[in-house]
Amino acid sequence: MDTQSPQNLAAIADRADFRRLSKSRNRLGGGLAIAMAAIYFTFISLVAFSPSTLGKPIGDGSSISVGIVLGVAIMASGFVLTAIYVIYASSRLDALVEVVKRNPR
Amino acid sequence: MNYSTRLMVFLAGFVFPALCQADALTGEVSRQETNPLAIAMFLLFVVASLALTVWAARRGTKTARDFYAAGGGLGGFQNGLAIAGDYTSAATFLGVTALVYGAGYDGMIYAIGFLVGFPMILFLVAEPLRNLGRYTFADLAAYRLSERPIRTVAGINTLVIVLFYLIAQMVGAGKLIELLFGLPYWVAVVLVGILMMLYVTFGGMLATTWVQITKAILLLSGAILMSLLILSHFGFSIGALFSHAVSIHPKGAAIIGPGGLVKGPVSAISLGIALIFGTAGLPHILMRFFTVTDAKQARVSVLVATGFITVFYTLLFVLGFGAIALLTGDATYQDAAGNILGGSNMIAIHLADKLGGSILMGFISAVAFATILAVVSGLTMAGASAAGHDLIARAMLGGKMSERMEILASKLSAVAISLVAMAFGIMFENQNIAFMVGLVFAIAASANFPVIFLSVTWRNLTTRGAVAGSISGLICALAMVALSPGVWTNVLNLGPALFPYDNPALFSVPLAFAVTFLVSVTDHSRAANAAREKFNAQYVTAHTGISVNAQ
Repeated sequence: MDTQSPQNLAAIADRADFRRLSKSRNRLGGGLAIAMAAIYFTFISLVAFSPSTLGKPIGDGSSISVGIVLGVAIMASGFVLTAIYVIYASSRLDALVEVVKRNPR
Repeated sequence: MNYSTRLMVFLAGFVFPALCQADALTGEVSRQETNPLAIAMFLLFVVASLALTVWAARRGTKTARDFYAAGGGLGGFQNGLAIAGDYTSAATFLGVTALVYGAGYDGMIYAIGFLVGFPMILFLVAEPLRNLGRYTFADLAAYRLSERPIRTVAGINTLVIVLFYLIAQMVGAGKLIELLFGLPYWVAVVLVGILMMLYVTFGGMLATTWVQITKAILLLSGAILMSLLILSHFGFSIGALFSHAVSIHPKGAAIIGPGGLVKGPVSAISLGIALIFGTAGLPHILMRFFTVTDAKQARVSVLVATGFITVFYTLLFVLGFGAIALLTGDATYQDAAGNILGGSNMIAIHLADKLGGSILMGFISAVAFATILAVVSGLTMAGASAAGHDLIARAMLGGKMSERMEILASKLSAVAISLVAMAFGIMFENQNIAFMVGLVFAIAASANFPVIFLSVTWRNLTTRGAVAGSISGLICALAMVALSPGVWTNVLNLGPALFPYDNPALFSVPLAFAVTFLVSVTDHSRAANAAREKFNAQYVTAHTGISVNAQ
């Protein structure tokens, strides 16, 4: 485990390499959180204001509704957004963390 | 009264207020004939879980890291399964299936709400949590804020959440075991209480983890098996399954669209806020992130858990529609009046019987039981660590307690929590506990989430701000729920509710944020400035995992 004295640790906060890391992660996490919330609250608004849209069948004679497809899609989107975070963090953020750790100062 | 009118009456009583309550497993219950196979499988699970506990106890619960965090060396995949096992309760399994059986699409609205909170944990708190904390989420807030006040508040919040959640689970467990295995209600509650006490006190987090992993695998296997069997009746065509369900359900095509589950936009959005932010404030879920080696494994945990829960909830939808298509009109599973034998929560169990006879039914009953044990032991573990680590060892004794004594205090807390949960479980047998799970999420979103989120993102947060915000979130959530239709009218019988909505999150979460903000920015004490100065060091640790060395 990497350790530092409190003074050194605080000093890292002002370094450019660290700023790049924290900015990338905040953007990634913040952006995906907003996306997830937007998807979910759009869905909830449809349920509240326009339930009939969700109840429509996807095609003539089908008993599968728009809402069922949308519901599965929303659940899948939660997984996809999570996967985006994991992939991006594992490739890009971890590399930035390594840069911060290796940087001598 | 014909069959469909009766069904509507039954739906009005059970399904419609169910968005917050399906997780609490309510609804009428009548004892079933004992199924020897179910009992054999249930005993097998109990013996296996106790063997697991003995193994975990031998591995040792001597160090705090072993006891609270299973040694801290779990992989992301294991932890992801354990998180899924911690989160998906028997009431979800049986409750959502029953909800879909009765109301169709509304069950899906419920399932989606309980899923979306998971990605939020990862996007907003998981990595800083893993990098800054050790055993409880309060560690993270106490990193730069004054330890005593912040741990006291966080510890009390945790105990309140754990207790309400446990009562809901115990009452559900008692009723479920009563109807599955024919045991008297109080015996069932005591049995669950003793088992969770044994797992936690002897096996600590390691035993709890493996009970949760085993349960997660059993539950998903059961759901997959049942879904395949259902689809085999319809030539493996989802379309054919839904067509048949629509043609046979008394509500017809109405079951593929939203019904009366969501009562107006305010209720819908308020519940949405509680679910989406509440998950990131649930102590027993957050605690699981300390069992993995690093932030990378914490990410993998969330991915696995989210994938698991997505698949599981989607399958529940197949089970629910399968139950409509296969059980509707089948006299074997109805009493003379046309009601479901044993109450609506038995739908999934009846479906297992229909699909695979008494063998599958016994297996699914045992799975439902395993599910209960995994959830209650996770909750007990979170309560024990809040009491032992945050409240006793840190807040009360200022860390002057030896590690051995601290673990002993936590274990005794686990015993106490189990006893209290058993007592309340028995007391609340005939109470309407539908409000409890909704309340738990509202408290987690109002009292815990703002503190966790702001302590890692906002430099200006001070101890006073965090404490004031957390307490106002807690009190506001409790008060609004007490005055809501679910408690004021249905539990206390005091007439029309003073607060019209069942979920307070739309009001209590912004209030907690506002109070935290205002108190923090007006706090110019020396402690406040010290907390602000420590932000940089904390921020670096949160993002990189580089920690402060011992001086």
